[in-house]
Amino acid sequence: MGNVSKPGRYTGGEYNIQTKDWDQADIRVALAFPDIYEIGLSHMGLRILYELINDHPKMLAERVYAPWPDFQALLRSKNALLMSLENKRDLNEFDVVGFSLQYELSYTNVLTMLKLGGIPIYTSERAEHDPLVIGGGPCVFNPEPLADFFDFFLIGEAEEILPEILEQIRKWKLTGQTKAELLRQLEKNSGVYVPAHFQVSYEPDGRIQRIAPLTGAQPERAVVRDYSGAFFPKRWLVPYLDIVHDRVAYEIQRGCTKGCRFCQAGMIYRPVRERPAAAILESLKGLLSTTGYEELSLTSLSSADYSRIEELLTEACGCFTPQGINVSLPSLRIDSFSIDLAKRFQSNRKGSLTFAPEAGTERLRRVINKGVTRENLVTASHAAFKAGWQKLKLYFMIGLPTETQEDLEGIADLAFEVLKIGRQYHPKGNALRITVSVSTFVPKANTPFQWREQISIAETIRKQQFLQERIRGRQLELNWHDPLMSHLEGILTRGDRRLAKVIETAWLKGAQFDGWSDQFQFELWMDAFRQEGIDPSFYIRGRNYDEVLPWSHLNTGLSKDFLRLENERANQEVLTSDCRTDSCTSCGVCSTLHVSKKIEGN
Amino acid sequence: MAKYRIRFSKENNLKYLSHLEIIKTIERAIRRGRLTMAYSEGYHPHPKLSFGPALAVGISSMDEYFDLELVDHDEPERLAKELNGALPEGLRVLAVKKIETHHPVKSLNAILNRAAYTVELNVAAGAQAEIMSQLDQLKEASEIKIARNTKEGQKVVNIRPWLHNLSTKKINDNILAVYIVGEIGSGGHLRPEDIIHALPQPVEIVSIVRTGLWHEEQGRVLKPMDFCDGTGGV
Ligand code: SF4
Repeated sequence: MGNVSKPGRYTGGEYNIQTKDWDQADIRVALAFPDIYEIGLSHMGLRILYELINDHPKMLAERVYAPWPDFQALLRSKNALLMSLENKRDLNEFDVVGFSLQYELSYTNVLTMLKLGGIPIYTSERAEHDPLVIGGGPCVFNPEPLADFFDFFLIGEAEEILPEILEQIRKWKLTGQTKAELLRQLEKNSGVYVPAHFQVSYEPDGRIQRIAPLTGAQPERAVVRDYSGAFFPKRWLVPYLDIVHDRVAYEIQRGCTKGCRFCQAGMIYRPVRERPAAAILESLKGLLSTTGYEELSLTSLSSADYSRIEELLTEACGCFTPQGINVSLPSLRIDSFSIDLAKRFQSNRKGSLTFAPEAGTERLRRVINKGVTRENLVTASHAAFKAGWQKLKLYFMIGLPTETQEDLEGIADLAFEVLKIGRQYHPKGNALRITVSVSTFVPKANTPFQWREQISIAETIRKQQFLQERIRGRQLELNWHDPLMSHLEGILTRGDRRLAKVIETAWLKGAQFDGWSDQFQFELWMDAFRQEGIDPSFYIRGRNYDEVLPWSHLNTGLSKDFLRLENERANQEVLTSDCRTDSCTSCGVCSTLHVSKKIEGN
Repeated sequence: MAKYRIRFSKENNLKYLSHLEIIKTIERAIRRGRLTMAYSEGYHPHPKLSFGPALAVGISSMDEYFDLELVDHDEPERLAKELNGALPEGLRVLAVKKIETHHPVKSLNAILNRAAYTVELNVAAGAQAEIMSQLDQLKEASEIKIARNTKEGQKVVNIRPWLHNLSTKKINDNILAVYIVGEIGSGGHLRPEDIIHALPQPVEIVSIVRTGLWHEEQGRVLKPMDFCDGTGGV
């Protein structure tokens, strides 16, 4: 143990851990995260489910994260299986193994964990006594590449529906019925999607011909209707290792209504629902006193948009700063209101502030529905530098629909403009630094851009090189995403069931931790595509409205007409307003899923 | 304001925590214990909390220390109880002593210069006598040279001047215990595993425990708590 890196990843025993009596539980769930401990434990969704399940007297949830290669070797050398952190039980002893699927490049880690846990990777190879392998998280909005590895997926928000599902599984265990019978029962619940109950046929050119339901099931996204009363953990786990988000992170609202056309999260977590401010403060007091944390963050997709954010922050700071606790907001808007908030609540200005204009020109920002102007950015930069910040991060995407050379130039122009402003305030500022972060646009399922083409590797590199030539000099820094990783992400995120073989083959060749640049081996994947006779570029191409998309049988509440209209409005460079502040834009979610937006109001 | 010197142990899986992780964990336990720490002045206030010499990852200890300043006064016994209620299993407060503030007290790092360790080795019964005699020879040697990684790269250092005592004991047919007393602090730093690695053949270390920390000067031995009344005997 002493010879593996960071043994604390595998020892468990964190403060507030819940180790329940194994034998007293009727249902045992392994919550699996296909990445390392430091990332997995930082994820809020699993924290919610961990406590939600463990609060139930007859149910038990334990955690397991992807072991780093050195620990995998140790397990193999000792002929041991991958175990949970609480009762140290082998993965294959659980009734349910639930994976949180956050990122396409962690798919091979799912296979590694199943294999190390003694569970056959294909559902078709699993016996009745093997655990039910289920998946949730944003990736299951198109889970098709993983369809053959999972018994079912839970689409959408799990906290309301999961206890009911586990209860049904508990009853099923007592009856001695088959798994097939269980799955037919479970799929009546909203959120449950059993991939084996759909048969996909293909056209000769490779496009999908039909997705035929075999049992008549109509999978629909699960949504928390009463968000103000929604469960939130009280016994927050406090790790010993430095994890990515080492703080109390409190979810103050769910959903974002800005309507950026590239953003999957903004589409799949609708409608916007705010938690009452008083309840937030009350829970925070409890959480801070039971964790002893020195930092707390009010999270959501766009926390500055919470209707009573100013009041909430003022109260939170009033309560907690005297105790030496830092209060922060993870996401800022590019406007003076945001800077003002940051200025008042972030005493530490050594770190950097991040602005996300996303695109280089006003035209392209209209295309993606990011209603930010150059003027906004200029004003915000003035305010930030004036308040004492010297490090600004600007976040952009390349390869957005309709992008031209002028849009790329625009990225460089904005960077220099912001630098110029910075130099006005910090003329001798050796710490002055503008970081330009550029990622490659990856069209995602269930967004208005789901039909769009993703740029090729060669084009990505060309654009990156252009920016590299333009954005250089003292106090300027340019970062970009690995073009090969974005390419693979793009393939997997809009992929279909035929990719299961490719994932398996790449994994057998040694692919794992593909999201880690020091582990990623693109050639293994290309070999796997060749071996399986699949053309990867098929998956990043643009698509017609009448093509059957691999996820078209999954109902997320978003109407196809809305997505299509938004895609058209992108071409016309027209902005669509925010349904938090303006009227409903008829995305379909509220009526289809019988839920309504909930705003605290001022 | 009230200052305390606190002795604690570090065991089980928590021996894998680094010095910084220990500090963070104890800081959080203090907050959970609803004790109000005093903070430094300035732009980035820090809690007034200072620790003794760092312990390497993987080594457990029966004798660690930190100094803590609280806004309110608290009885040492009650403070120990509150901390123990908030600490994770593996960390335990063993003793608390109030530091009399009207005398300046030297920091733990400034006073501590000796550490004792028990190293358990996995040695088969037949080989134990030989290892014991080899360790005795090390103790008698005038030089023990080992390679150490430093900031400037690998360097050969003589650790013999830092080795103050060494003895061995057979525990059972598989385990041999080695008791080591060495120099720590600014005058030099002995690592117990360096002694074991200086043996002519590789020997498997089962565990290392730090069993004591103290100040030694001209034959006088003082424990950290001896300094709390401000006189410190020095
Ligand atoms: S249906 Fe209307 S109110 Fe509801 S999320 Fe969509 S746009 Fe907003």
